[in-house]
Amino acid sequence: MRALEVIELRAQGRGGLVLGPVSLRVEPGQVVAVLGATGAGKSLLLAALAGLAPSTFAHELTVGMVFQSAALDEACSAFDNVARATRARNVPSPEDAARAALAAVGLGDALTKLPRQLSGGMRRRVALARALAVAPELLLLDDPTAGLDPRTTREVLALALGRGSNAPPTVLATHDLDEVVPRVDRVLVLEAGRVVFAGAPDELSRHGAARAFAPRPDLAPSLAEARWPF
Amino acid sequence: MAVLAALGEVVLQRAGDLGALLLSARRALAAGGRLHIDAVETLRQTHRLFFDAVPLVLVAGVAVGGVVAMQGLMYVARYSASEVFGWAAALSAYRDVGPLLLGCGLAARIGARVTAELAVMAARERLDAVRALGLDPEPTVVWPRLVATVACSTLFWAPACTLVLGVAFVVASLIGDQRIATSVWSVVSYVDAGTLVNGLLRMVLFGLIVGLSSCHAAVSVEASEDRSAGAIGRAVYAGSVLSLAGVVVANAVVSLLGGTG
Repeated sequence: MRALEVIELRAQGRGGLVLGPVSLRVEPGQVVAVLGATGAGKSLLLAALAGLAPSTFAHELTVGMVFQSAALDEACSAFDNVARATRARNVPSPEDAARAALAAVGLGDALTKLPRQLSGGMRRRVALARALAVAPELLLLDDPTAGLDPRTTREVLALALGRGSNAPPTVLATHDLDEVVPRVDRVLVLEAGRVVFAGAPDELSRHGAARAFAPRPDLAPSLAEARWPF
Repeated sequence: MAVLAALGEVVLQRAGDLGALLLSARRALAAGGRLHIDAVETLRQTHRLFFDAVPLVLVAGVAVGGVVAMQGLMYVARYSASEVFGWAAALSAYRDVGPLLLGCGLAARIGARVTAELAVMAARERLDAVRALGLDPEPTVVWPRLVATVACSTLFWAPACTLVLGVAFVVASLIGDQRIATSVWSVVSYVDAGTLVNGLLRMVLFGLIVGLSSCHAAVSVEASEDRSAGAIGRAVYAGSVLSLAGVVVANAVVSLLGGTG
């Protein structure tokens, strides 16, 4: 398993957001959390790392990615969603690998269920199974606990992050300071596409975590300016 | 000046749409030629879209059959030509009215569904999820739906048009004393293979137009900044309008080029 080495990555997203320069190194088994307000560039950074957004970063790693919305094919069963990934990545015995991955996330008895028949937490676990089934060399998690209740959040995090030193380098975008940040090795805080903090989680509290979630003034009006419409 | 500018903008947009459609068609054909389209996904989509459209085709077939009977009976009554009723009804069912209305129906059912599905996939990161697997969404997600749309319209042609004809014969026998045996004899005697081939080729063409229009409208969502539910709705509307206009224009062009002769 190789480390992820990113040097001065720059990328351009929709809406004119310019990201970078971002540098980071993530060892196998390590998890880096990317924090920042909405529109700070977290998803853009993950998209650039996955090769989905134009950027200065290029690699040949096998990527497993969990999207904010789970991004499952609604017309396919849970099994087909995962098996398509294992087939695409030429995983040996792709059907068996898909079944094993779904069993590993506790969905061994939901193989034939369509995404619409699954709860939000189960959909997220299918997406996680799809990402892990391809034996990724880089795992990217875009707000994997968004909209989940605390118990499901802990279950999803345990599955995604609790795999020790055999796990690939993992980069995770999140808003969840309470549940996620204590479980990661390093934290990166973005503000309007630029890195404003990089360090250990306990250094973040001294730095002032509130800054990571300050809304961009061009995106959100302050509460004082907000008006109830009725 | 403002009106001219607005008109020019619309013309440029439509020209851009047409160019993109032609490019999509060329790439889809090239990919098909190299067998790069996901065959399993294409079969799955064909199965889904076909059975999804069966109720609409059945209802439309019965309605169109009734219309064909009533229009045909007018001429039968005027010219006392009951022996050509079956032939005229078959021309309508297999070559003219049948394919045209079937194409419009499929644009509304299959085309709108394809556009909605793909637009949601584009807006909700599902195409990105496919890319993250190292797959190209076009041959794995978009083109299978395009090919499935063409396959469905081709597969529907014979049963749907035969249903139209059968209903026309039954309605004509019920309200116009037109004997079913005479109608069938008229079809067997006068309808040639060219008429049938003409109708089938029209359906293939209409399917291609519906497939290209709906896929193009959906994929445009990904290229735009706006990925809201409203943008998806607008894509479905644009795809439907483009499909229907394309089917009507293509039908007129084929007829003008001698397709009705």
